Amino acid sequence: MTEAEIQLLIAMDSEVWEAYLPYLAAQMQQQVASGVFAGLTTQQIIANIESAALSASQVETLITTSLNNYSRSVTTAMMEGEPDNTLYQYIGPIDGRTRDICLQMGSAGTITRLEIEKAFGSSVLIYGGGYNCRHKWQSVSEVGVSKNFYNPKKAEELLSGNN
Amino acid sequence: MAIQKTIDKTSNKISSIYIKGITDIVDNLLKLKEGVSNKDFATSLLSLDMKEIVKSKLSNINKEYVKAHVEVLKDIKPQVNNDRS
Repeated sequence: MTEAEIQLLIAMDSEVWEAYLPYLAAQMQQQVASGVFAGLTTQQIIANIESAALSASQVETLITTSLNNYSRSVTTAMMEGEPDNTLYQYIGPIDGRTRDICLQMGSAGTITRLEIEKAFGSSVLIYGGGYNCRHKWQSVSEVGVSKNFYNPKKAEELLSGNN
Repeated sequence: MAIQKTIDKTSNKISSIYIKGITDIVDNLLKLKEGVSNKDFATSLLSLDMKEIVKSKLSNINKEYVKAHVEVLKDIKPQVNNDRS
């Protein structure tokens, strides 16, 4: 993956955020006007803006998700240059927040890209288990460095409810 | 993973900038209402370049966002081959 490609991915993420701002501005204008007409307090107007546009917690989720998607996108792009028999494993935290789909992928062991796509589909390479997902498929050589974050046995136990 | 802490910290910081920015803008807009009718207030709201006000007030979000992308990249940099086209 080239530097230019990496920069493009960053620029595109910024573009998505920038594209949201005019919508927020219009909603603020409308909610402030209607709030004043209705005699609402400042806090009520702000609550209505958060309801009509994105709330602070939704923004937090959006940023967490897009940064993790960015990480997975770069990692996936690098897979393109690796041999077909390269092995990958699903890494990331295993805790009470971990989804079942992530536990399933975490307990799949080391498999090839083709096997990942057959078992879980190709979208998991970039989107993982969905919004707020903290996991990703990474080549075994890299995981070797951070194996503390990979524990297929624990994932299986959580999946079967024996934790 | 250490990078996950960076991501969580960034998301939290950005959401704080976001809500503080909205609050500041609303507070300032409501000051325009003092001593004017609802109609005049609405007219003055429409005359403002809200897009620019919001963009400017929340500009630090984009800076933090790009900075976090770079941190994410540093975390996986050993695998990145700039010579590969």
